[in-house]
Amino acid sequence: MQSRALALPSWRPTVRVSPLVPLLATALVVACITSVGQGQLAISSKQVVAIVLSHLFSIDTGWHFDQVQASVLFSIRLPRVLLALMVGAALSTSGATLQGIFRNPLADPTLLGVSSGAALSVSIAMVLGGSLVLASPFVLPSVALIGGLSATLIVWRVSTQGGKTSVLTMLLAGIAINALCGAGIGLCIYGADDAELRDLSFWMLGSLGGATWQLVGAASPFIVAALVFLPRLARDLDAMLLGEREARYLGVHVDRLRQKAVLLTALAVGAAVSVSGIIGFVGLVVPHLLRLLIGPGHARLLPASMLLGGLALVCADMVARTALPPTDLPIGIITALIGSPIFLWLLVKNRSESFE
Amino acid sequence: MIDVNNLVVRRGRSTIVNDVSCRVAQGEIMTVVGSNGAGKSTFLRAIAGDLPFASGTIEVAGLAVSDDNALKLARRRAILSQSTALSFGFRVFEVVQLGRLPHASTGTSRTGELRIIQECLEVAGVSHLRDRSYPSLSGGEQQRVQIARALAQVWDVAAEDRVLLLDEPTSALDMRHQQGTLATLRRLADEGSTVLVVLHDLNLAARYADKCLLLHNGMIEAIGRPAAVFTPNLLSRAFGVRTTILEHPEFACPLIVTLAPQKANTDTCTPSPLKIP
Repeated sequence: MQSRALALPSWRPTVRVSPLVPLLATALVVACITSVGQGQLAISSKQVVAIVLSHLFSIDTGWHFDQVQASVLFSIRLPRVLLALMVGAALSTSGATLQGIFRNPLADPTLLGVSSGAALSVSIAMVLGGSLVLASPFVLPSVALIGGLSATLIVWRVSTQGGKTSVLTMLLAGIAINALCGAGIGLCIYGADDAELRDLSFWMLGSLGGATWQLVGAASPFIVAALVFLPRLARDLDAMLLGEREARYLGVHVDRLRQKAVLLTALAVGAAVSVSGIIGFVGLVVPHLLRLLIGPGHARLLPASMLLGGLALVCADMVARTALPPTDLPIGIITALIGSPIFLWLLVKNRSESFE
Repeated sequence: MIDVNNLVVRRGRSTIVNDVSCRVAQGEIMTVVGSNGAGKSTFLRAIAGDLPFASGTIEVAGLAVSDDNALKLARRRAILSQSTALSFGFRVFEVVQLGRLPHASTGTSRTGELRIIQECLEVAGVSHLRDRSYPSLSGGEQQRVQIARALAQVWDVAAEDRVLLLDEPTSALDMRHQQGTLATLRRLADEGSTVLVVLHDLNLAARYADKCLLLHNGMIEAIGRPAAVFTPNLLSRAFGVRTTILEHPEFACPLIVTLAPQKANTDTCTPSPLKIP
């Protein structure tokens, strides 16, 4: 009886406010400032802060910098780091959402073929579209959206029967889609001239090398819209983890939820692919690691995924630019180099629980 | 209140539930019993709004069962499925919290929500597990957590409006927790709730139910008080098992005892004798 009496006050909130979000946010700011300073023309963190403050807010810090540094920072480094940030946030938040909606920790934009679907549609548009593609910066992200959406729907249709998704079928369908899109992009290569050829290989490996303010402007409406609306699905996604039927019993409109989730992830992934090509493993590994730290609840998982995903790509991009100067490594190589061992480790760790 | 009229549920060409009508009033527990494949779960899922039905009408807590009423229904009736596969590492507390989802926008205070969750954890006997990871629990513990989640969904609903549908809530539980779970349902019914529960244990059904629905091949074999439904004759027809009915030593309810298998003269499932060469 005594232990029971002692246990009673325990209904008081034990919800631990996770220190992770402020921690990640701080790390992200530090990483961004460090990253924009790296390169052939070194800019110290102090100078970065001074340049940004003086240009955006006309605040004179008294710290010395020259005009070349300022223009390199604004016209080359900043758009690139911002793009890395957005793409990372888009990919990992989409990964977390897809994992929720498929009720499966292995769902990922790259493995499911969403990224390659988007890449194929972009490649076709570039080879066939010619000057039409250049008409508006929003053409490519829109085309990518259609490709990504089609890929998701095909995988969904093939792998889900009666509300149950078979993991094996889902992954195999993803392999099929990836192979098909790879072949399609290969065909595009045959029809491409030299300049297009370089662009196409860039889609396959993933790179932020072409970052400009125009690309940032083209991708940001899509990505920001997705990142604003996805967290609103958090509670319904939590219910989905119990099962489609249970979610319905809890009053969740499952079909509408799935439509929203698939559309928003295709929007984010499509825009990310249209500006940076196929960058793998971010959408898989980042939510996985976060689940280990803060649990599977989407209200915390989705915002944390944005931050850690952005952080991961900003860091990967820094490595891509500085590892082998003066070459600029495709960032997809870096994420695969780091991501696939982590992925293997997670597989070994989870071997006991089946992914069924 | 649950009101089912001439319900027919088909899957493909086979009819799983055939012309079933019944009514569970406020304050009543009705158990659905029958052999494997008799249509019990399908019947419950149709009432849950999960399966389309070919004809008939279903009304739950004064609302027609349809997609349009999904959220309204979710605020009054909770459903426990036969099995729930949750492989993501939610803590027990969070699983029960998911039951509060339909009430997210109704403005219950945070403290109120936490108290409801804690009360349900205690009623289901899992408050000591509240911070454990759900996948690490045993099957019986998981089932009790799911019961707590279902209770949480309708805990603060006016008793007369509250409807609980449970599909074999005791299948993984030990004797003590089987009795505890049914006693909880009995208490909720005595407050005015409506409870419909699929059970395999006829003695649990006999002890706690006001009414029993005996299904056989998707049709009503019998419906009524436990004492009227649990007769050797009806049970033999529905299950193909010989039974005798005794008087419970402590409670005024029938006690069903199974006997040796009956001779192969019925048309229902008769276990074929093992042939030893």
